[in-house]
Amino acid sequence: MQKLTPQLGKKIDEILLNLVVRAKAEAVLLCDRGGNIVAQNTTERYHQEDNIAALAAGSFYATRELARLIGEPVFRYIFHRGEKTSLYMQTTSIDMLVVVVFGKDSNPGLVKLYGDEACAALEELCAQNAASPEEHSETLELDSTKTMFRRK
Amino acid sequence: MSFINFARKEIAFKIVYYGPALCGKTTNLEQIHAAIVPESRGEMTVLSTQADRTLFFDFLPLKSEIIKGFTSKFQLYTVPGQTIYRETRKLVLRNVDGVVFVADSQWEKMEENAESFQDLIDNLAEQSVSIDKIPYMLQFNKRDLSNVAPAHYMDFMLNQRETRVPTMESVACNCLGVFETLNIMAKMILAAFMKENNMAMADVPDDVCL
Ligand SMILES: Nc1nc2c(ncn2[C@@H]2O[C@H](COP(=O)(O)OP(=O)(O)O)[C@@H](O)[C@H]2O)c(=O)[nH]1
Ligand SMILES: [Mg+2]
Repeated sequence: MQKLTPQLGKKIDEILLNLVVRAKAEAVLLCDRGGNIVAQNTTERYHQEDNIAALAAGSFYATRELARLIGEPVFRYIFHRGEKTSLYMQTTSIDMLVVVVFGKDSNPGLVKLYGDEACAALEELCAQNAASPEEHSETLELDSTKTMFRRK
Repeated sequence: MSFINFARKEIAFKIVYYGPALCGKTTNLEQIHAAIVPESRGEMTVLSTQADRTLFFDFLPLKSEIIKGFTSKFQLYTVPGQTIYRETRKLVLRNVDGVVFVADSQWEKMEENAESFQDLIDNLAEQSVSIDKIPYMLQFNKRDLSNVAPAHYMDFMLNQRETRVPTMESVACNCLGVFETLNIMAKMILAAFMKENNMAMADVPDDVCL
């Protein structure tokens, strides 16, 4: 099971905010290898972020086999260049994926520059956290008044 | 592998609908998407070819308030059943929390069911996950057709591991057995989660539509 503490989450949020602002991006998602969103900084326009994360993780990791065929262990960056809006994905050594959505205000060079910086910061943060993990205990409790999934 | 995000107050679970081509996996998700109370679901992403077969995977995010103070996300995925898409199936199985194995009840599909089930075991094993260690269940679909094997025969074929797992007969295209399957699966995942987190083993509440 993976856990993310509030303290660590806050630090990750800062890194993502920094990336959004400096790379002039529209949205940034941090996903784990399973396609879950770990943290995000998005505008209203991207309300289907779960779907974006699932598809981004799926399509990114699907290129592993392609990479292998040309003798690479993995592609570190992938760009999808759109007419108005583009997508940039970058893997980190901590097995997480940074996804950046950007428009005409930005460009691939800028996004890559700050994407690299953000990934390095995330890797460092995780290394620090692994060395001295932050404690967090919170009791989880089932809400017995709630039902599971119901029909309309 | 579930993900507890204390910062976002979210817990994420991944459910994969597995099974041979055309057994009804996409139909399960479509029916859930169409019939569930709207506040519990996001949008469905269907990546299908023109032949209406899943090329990549389908995705439907659901959410529940079953754990106090948290949004519990149940992310539903289907895999492409065709043998050649093995890499995609492995990809979709990453960090899986529970599997619904959808079997096609027609007699002529029994071999495909068995092959697909073995493929599931092998693909999980490749990521060092034993099928006996994760929540999974069987759905016997297409019970409306006339050429179907009896449920006890399918049980004999597919449910012979050490721990016998829940089964549900279904007619997915008519939404019969679809919510029952989803809720059994969600409860199995929750039970495993509670055990892992030493949560009080209060009964997981029953769904009203069961
Ligand atoms: N008769 C019958 N047809 C079904 C049932 N469930 C699904 N189907 C049909 O079987 C076909 C394949 O279903 P689909 O969900 O696309 O299969 P998938 O490949 O497993 O995703 C579609 O034409 C469905 O309408 C069922 O319970 N009974
Ligand atoms: Mg399908």
